[in-house]
Amino acid sequence: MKGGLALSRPANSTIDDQIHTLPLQATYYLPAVSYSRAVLHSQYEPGQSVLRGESIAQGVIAPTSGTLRAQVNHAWPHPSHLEVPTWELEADGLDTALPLAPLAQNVTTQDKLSRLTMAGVQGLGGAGFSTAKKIERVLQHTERTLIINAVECEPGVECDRMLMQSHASSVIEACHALVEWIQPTQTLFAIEDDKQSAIDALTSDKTHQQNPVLTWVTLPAVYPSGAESLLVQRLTGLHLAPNQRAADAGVLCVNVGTVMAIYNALNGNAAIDRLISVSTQDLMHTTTLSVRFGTPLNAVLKFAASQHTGLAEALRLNPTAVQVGGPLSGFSRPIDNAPILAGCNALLIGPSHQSQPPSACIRCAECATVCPANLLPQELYTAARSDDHDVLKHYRLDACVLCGCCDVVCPAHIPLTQWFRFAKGSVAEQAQNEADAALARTRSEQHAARVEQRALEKAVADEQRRSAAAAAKHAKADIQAALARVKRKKPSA
Amino acid sequence: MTWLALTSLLLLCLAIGYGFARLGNSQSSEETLIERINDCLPQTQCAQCHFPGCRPYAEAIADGRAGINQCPPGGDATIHALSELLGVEALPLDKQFGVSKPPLVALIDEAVCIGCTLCIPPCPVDAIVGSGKLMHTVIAEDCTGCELCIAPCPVDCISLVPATAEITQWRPAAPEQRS
Repeated sequence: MKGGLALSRPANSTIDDQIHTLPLQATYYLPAVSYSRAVLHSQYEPGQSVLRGESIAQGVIAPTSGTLRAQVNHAWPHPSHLEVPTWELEADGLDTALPLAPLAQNVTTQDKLSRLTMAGVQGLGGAGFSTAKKIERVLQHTERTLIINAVECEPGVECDRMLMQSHASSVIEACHALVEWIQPTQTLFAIEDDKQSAIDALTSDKTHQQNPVLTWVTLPAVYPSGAESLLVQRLTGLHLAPNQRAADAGVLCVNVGTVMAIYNALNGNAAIDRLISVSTQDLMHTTTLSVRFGTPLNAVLKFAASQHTGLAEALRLNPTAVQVGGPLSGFSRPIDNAPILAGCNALLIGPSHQSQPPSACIRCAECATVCPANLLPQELYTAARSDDHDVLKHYRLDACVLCGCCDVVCPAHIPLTQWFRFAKGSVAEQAQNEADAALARTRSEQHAARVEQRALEKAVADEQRRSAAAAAKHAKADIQAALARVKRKKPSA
Repeated sequence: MTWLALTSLLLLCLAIGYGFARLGNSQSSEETLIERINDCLPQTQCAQCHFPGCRPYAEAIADGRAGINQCPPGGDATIHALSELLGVEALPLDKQFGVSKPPLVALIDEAVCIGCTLCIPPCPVDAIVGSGKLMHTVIAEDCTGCELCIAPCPVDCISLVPATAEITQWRPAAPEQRS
């Protein structure tokens, strides 16, 4: 990979090498909105009881047993800071699980895919894409490649490393199960070289040593090596076209946490939780928590503080705002009861990096040097400012992974990534408008054609009726004339 | 000298050929122009421009019978696109035709609807489903928010609501331009 940034933790930083599980909460918040911001609908009524693992709506799984309350507008962990319709789940404290039997070995692919959907398995790397849909696309190809993404390149995000070193044998078993299902021609296990403890734990696993189906790919620790499109291109040489996903080319690239979630779902355990790294903003202290989806953010931070004095001190000094996500990819939000969801891999406590006022671009091209996608951010920036979609397309805005490397190196402190987010939104909005217009146009043309056709048919029918009436009138006149002739003849006869 | 004469003759032939080609295409280039204008329009089919739909408005613009600033749903974006396409000045939207609004869709209050079917024929995109004395409903994905169904309704049960949820419409803002 060209570019990127070699970011590391401070030399004397401490990482708590234990996973702490959050105790059961009284209330969980389940947004009725998908990651792609579509509003979700459900058959469930307020007051209805649900069990842990029960699917309430597409991708929304009850994290414990309890009673579902009516939807309310509730805080949502998203850069928009908007509130969204959210189900409140009042826990009953029993934590009764929905009985989901492990799937037998010989079930069909369709059964497995619907199990993943029902168990709410979605990508834990950040994008939150439905895993069943991803696998379905890959299975349409005969030549398949499996990439297990354990790169976790952003500093301060340690949950994948913690998963691998704490549950090495389960991870290996889950990888083997996925290989068994997908039957790829090769399976690459991509990991960064700064995760030696995880590599050691995995490679010393007995199952792995007996059946080494995984090919290890150790990458230097450079951010953003783990970005899916970049990783796929680097490991397979595959260049994805705009809007093409790796899955469409027969490459299944899944986060290692997601591999575990797939394995758990097939064995009867729905995806109801994830690991989250909680760190101080300077990355001096880090701990890892196992958190159920829907847990309020403030409860997570309070628990983290109770486990680690460094975090407690940071939270005491910064009690109002937290960064959701890693130092480069995250966004700041107030500490409230917004729920933790699948895409949230890290929380950073402390004063967020204060952006300096931007000055004019001096065209130093530092941004182009660090861009891992080989783009020209300075050109994209100019195009984004003028909202010129043709130029944005020319400089391949679609290939930008929004990693934020260019922001870090820009001597003029230009918020480049924010400009690119804006530009991507603008392009997407235009595409949506064009699609809507095309649909409306087709439908209006069909409507007009039908109206015209009906008018024509009516005209023809009218004409036929008129001529029939005229013919009838004519016939009547003929009869009258004939009768008159007969009448005239009679007296003379 | 000979090669100069030959070259100029060749150029002349090419120019004449091109001229004939253009002449032959004038009918289709007129069609293409209308199509390209129509592509700039939002296809709402609302007739606020005083023409019975987007395509007739496109024809009127091509003929010089209408200005480029008569489309309220298209707003500034449409005016900008037309001004660029036709090389004419981008005038502000003419307010006599209406004002730009956020995307809306029609919603039938199903409890009030009497099933009269009067709203169905005016819909330019066939987005209303219903039958006599039976409840009607709007297919929100197909509705363009043209408002043509509102006037015919005898019980005023149709209203316009935002096309999508606030969260679906949200998109990242541009950074504050301080430099």
